Amino acid sequence: MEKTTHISNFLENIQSSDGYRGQIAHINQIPPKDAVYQEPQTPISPTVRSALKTLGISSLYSHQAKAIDLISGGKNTSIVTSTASGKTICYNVPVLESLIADPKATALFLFPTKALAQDQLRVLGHFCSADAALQDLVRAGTYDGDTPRETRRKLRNEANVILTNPDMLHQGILPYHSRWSRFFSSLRYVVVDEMHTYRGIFGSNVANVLRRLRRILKHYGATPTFVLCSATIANPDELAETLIGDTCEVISTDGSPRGPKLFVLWNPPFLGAGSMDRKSSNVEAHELMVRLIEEGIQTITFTKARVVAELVLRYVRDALSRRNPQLVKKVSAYRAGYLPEERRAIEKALFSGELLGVASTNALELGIDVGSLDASIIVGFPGTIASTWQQAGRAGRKSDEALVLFVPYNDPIDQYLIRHPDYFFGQTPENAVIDPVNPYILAGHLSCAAFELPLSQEDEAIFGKLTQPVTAVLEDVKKVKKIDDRTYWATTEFPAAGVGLRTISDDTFTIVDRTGPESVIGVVDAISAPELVYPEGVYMHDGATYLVRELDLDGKVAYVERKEVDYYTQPILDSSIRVKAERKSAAWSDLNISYGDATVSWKTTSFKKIKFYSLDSIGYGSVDIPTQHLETVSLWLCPDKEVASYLKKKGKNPVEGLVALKNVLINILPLFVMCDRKDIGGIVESSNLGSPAIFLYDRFKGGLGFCEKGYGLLPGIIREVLHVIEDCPCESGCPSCVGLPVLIPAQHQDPDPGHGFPIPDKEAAVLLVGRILDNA
Amino acid sequence: MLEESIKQRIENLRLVLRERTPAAITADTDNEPLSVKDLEDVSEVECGKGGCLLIEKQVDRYLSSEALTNAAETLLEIEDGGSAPTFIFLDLETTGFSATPLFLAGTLFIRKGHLKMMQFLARDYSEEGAIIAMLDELLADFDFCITFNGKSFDVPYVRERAKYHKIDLKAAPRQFDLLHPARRMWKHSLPNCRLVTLEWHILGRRRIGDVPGWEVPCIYHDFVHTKDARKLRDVLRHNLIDVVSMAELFVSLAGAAKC
Ligand SMILES: [Zn+2]
Repeated sequence: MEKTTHISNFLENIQSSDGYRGQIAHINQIPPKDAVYQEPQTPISPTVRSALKTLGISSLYSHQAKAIDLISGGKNTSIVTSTASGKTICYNVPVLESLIADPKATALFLFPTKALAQDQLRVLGHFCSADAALQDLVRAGTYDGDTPRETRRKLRNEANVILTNPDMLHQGILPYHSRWSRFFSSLRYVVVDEMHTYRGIFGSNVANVLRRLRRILKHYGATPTFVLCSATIANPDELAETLIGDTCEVISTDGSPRGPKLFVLWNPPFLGAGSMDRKSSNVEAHELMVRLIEEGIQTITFTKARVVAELVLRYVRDALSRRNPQLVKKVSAYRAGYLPEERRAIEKALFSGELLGVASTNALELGIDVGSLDASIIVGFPGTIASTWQQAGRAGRKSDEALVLFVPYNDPIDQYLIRHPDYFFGQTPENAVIDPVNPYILAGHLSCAAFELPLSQEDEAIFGKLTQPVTAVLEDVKKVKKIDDRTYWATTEFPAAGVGLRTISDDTFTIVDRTGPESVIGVVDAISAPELVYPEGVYMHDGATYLVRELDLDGKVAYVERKEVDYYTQPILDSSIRVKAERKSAAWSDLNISYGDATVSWKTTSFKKIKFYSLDSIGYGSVDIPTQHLETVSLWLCPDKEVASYLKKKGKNPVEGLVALKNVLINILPLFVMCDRKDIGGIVESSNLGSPAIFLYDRFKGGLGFCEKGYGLLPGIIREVLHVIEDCPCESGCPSCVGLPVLIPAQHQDPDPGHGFPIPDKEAAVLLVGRILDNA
Repeated sequence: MLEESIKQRIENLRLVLRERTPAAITADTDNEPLSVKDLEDVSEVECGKGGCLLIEKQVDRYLSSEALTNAAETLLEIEDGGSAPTFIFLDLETTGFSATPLFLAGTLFIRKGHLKMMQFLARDYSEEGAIIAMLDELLADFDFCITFNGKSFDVPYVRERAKYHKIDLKAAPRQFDLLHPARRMWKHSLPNCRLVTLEWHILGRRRIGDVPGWEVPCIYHDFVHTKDARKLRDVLRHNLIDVVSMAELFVSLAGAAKC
């Protein structure tokens, strides 16, 4: 079957069909690209050569050849090429060559998730399957929280390739390094895959874990080469070098071929003449998916929330059972919360082509190898340009034509992108910002480091110039003790237990179906549980509806029962911020600026029942579960009363001006305090101070110094705010200036029935900030 | 020099960490602090890995070396044609749960017909290497090392910490772990087989005023910070009772085995 004509025909047919209502707002053609092959200068052994051959690889792409040469030459290397460009070959070849050359050599592979490590273990196994000698030589295993005790011991004593994640390295390997002395003494390569996920708080923590690793390796006399792989970001060289704390060569010229790709912006039609409401984006997306599947075009639909993935699957199955029942089994959903074996089965079926369609969350954005698909439907802007291109990159084979459909929600940001395709296609992917020398993060990792080996003068070269002052603080609070020229951990605490690498805990609830004999059908992280499995709500799994009967918060179990209903439910959240203690405060211009301790609270108070397809609201239910709290540090700005009257006099809404200012602050504060946009939250509210004020807060328990640092820099930041707004070429506000894509919620909310947040008035923001700067 | 803004942030960090750190146990101010030098029977010892303290005393008053020798004849295997095996009791104290430095190695053995106890004590964390090296030297003189739960704790612990200090252990005595025969012998008649339970039911005595095991690491960290050895003296006593009890238990086991 010739796919090229397939995709073009598909678009032509759809435009000439009766039901077409002008949904195509824009088509961007991404031209095809031929493969560039190159032979590496490093000799490749016959064993590895034949292994490549069994994988169907007779010649290597230019980026692979270059990577193999650099890596084999001992140069730290980062590879930034497209999703299906064969990045694993780049490191698997030099690693296998080193194992062949030296039977004692070892390699450590790090992946951001357990699932990816398991996936890559299979890839490595497949690579070695061709050759019996290679199979004997490679003793590889995943070492993570799921690894049984006996296997762990065996891996420590015998393995030469360990696949793990940064959390395990941090808490389960580095503190016990003497058990790993054999493995560490001969370590030749450290592979850090999916480097782009190590940004913000997580990235700053991982950078420190890697510094601790280098320090331990030095103790055992090993100086391995680091290999980093990444999806496209704006600053791969900077991120790679900051992560490993060393120089690194970047390979970004992709030698792999690419077929032509059509990127279509598809706007759901208005519901009727004169209506501002548009047809449901989920319904529209499922119709596109059904048509693609019926044409035999393998399609992935990316959604912004788990519930939407389930909805799309359900709609698609409904339609197929009426029109093409034999295809019902060929679609599935894929998201966090599915059991590992369920996920494996779906990945396999996608790879083999047995599945024609999958409705997914961003869980499939990461590099799990499911092969390339023909079409990708992106429902709603994922929040970052980098994510958008990752999701678009899932469609596209080596030579066939591929299709990407972006189906926006009827919310201001999504609709802005549809109206401004030049903006959409012209934006560079975001910078990945990390700050390993953040004193709070450093204090945690210097504690762990001191536990692992006493700190000495030499550690300043590894952890930076704040090493000595932060260590002095740790000694002051009696966590460490300096003896002669070395500083030892000096309490009974296990410091790694007190340092979490991620913002979200990995504590999980199980979801138990008790319709018949009890069986576990899924899991949900503890933070999401109150938003996903509240009593009497609908939980969807594999497109089917279950009613939640009980949420046992102590036992961490949600009990559900299979029940066929014609609606789904949306949690209604109540969130608030309460200032607990002001640490510092100052008046500046028209503003009172403070920072201090605050509690951010949120709670599911009720839920709305929403009918499938029509999105009609058919009732409410109340929820009685405890509030969740985040104790953190906040920075707040409260304008004087005169500011509001000034804006009102100018015919502007003062609160809108504040919301605009808050949005720009969330966009640019991270650049000043070195974190990711997702690490900071913000709201405008008036209950704390009696008049509307902007509250920004660190999205991390106890705070990580972002707001604290912002406090000291605020005048400069506000000056920058005005530049950002004034320099933005948009007329009345856009996502780059005063509008902000919803970054954090929508995790569990279907964006379809809501209409997002309006883009606030740019003019109000200019007047507000202008006045503040004039009076400063 | 650090910028002013960084200095300010470090000061904030200090405040935050202070608030999060629980107040230390108030020190005993009524009595004079005790210097580690003034402990009984203590001397400084040195080896290639550095120095540490050695507490050495004769402890014949607790049990007779003869009873121990007899028990060894019953319980320890003699290699073909070999002479009566030599043996040493060992018990460690550490500064935390796992992968943390050990600070005290208590031993008990027979020398020249007398029962002798030797404790190697680190004055701070930096002396762990010296303890391990000297303990290794001592263990090399014996055929058997007798422990309580040492197969899964003490012995792998020393091995791991030796790797940490890059010390190649030369002593390789055979292991006799009292826990396993004790379990076989008494698990049906006793609530559990912890050392204190066995002391109470089998040896017929109870520890009075002893430091609980979980408190031992805290006491040691406090000692490193304050240099006051009063509570550390209790830890040394705790460790001494442990090894003596192990020896007595060894004798009881032999007695029970003969019945
Ligand atoms: Zn703009």
